[in-house]
Amino acid sequence: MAGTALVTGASSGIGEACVRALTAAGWRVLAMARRAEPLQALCSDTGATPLIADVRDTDAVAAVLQGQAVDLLVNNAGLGAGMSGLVGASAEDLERTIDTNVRALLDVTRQVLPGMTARHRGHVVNLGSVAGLYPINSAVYGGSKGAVHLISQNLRLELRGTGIRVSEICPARVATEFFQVAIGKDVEVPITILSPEDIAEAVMFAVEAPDHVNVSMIEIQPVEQSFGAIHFDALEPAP
Amino acid sequence: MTKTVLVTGASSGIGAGIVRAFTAEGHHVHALARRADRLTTLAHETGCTVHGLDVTDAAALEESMGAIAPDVLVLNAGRGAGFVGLANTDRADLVATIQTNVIALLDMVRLAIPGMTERGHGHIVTMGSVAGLYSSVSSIYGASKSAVTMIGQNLRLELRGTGIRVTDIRPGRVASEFYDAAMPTEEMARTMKDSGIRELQPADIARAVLYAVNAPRHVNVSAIELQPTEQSYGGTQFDPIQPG
Repeated sequence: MAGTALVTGASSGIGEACVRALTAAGWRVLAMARRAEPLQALCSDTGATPLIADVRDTDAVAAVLQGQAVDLLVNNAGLGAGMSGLVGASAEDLERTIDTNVRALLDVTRQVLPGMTARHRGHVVNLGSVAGLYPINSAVYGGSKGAVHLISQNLRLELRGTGIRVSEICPARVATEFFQVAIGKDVEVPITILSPEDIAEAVMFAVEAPDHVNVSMIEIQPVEQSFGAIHFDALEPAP
Repeated sequence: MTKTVLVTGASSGIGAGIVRAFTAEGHHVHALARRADRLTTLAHETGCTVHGLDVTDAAALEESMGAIAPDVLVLNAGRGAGFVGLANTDRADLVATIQTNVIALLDMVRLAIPGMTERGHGHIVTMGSVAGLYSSVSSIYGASKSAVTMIGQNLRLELRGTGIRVTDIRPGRVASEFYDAAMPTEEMARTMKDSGIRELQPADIARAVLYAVNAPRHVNVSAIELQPTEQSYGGTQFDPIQPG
């Protein structure tokens, strides 16, 4: 049953694909992002309502959500500053990544949940990552997505008996601006990677499941990507 | 594209639901179970091909796997044990559970891989469980399903570059005959089954399997955890030690 959906990080990539999929399925979509220009273009294309706000700004989020009854929250806004290792990351990289991926996700959810609880209806879909499940050499980003994983698990427990569903979608490599934002350039890999639409499909599978079903987690990856292996690195003598 | 699908534990519950869902989409389904009489009814209803055999019978499996050459292998056969506590569980029950849920599953995958590798495609769908992720009341069943989840993760690494997809479905409470067989008495089974919530139905699990199998070829939906909206896991228990 379609209703009102709020999608964060809506101006591009997975967020944009979710806005397109949800509007196509008849949802009234509130598309939230910082960048006005791409957001306006997406909204005139899809009929979604643009909400220009930074998810990290509690007051700005509260202001644009004033009077809105959100039935579905897609917590998609996120970034991967500090992907090149903890030692190579700046304090600002850490701050931006944890603040956006963890604190802002909690904060937006905190603001939306009371309305859902009051209406006995709601669904929170968190965009996690395989980086939150497997070590892929990203302490900062992986740490933030590991937090999303545990946030999702704890919320399901906190919200038991309310009828509110909490789903987590954990994608692997997706064709988005992620690396452009994370490290200032695209990273090419010699495989067919996921498209934002593949992730939107997974979100819709969870969203469109019957009421009594909570698709609590979907892990989705390119067939040509895998995780793991053991490394033995004999210590080199110090110079 | 019509696929050849092999479903184990097909005679009832989730397995039968999966057979129905695949046949409804026009795929050629081979339904495997011990209870051949119940498979006959399912075959009349769905047009599936019936194989009355036990997944723990390695020799029979080898012959069938070669003949069927499945594109999709749905490893659903499983059983529960230990819900009355490890100390109260027979060794035979313990062994049978690990044999069915873990060893037979590994055996099926082992037998399927060469053909799938040769054909350049294949999809292995395992039936894990939330019991393999969160502790509940059975160390035996939980361990067997943790094994299934780890088997999937390791297989995705082992099979990299082959085009073979591995998906682990991890359901919470499903309305099925599971506890009838897993509990020692009818009375205990009745109590265990009475959750008082809207449980998952076999068709809900089948929909998750089809979503993963119908994903575009470049996509591996590697895991789906699904549970009744009215079910959750976790919490902390504080239990003072009782005097011995």
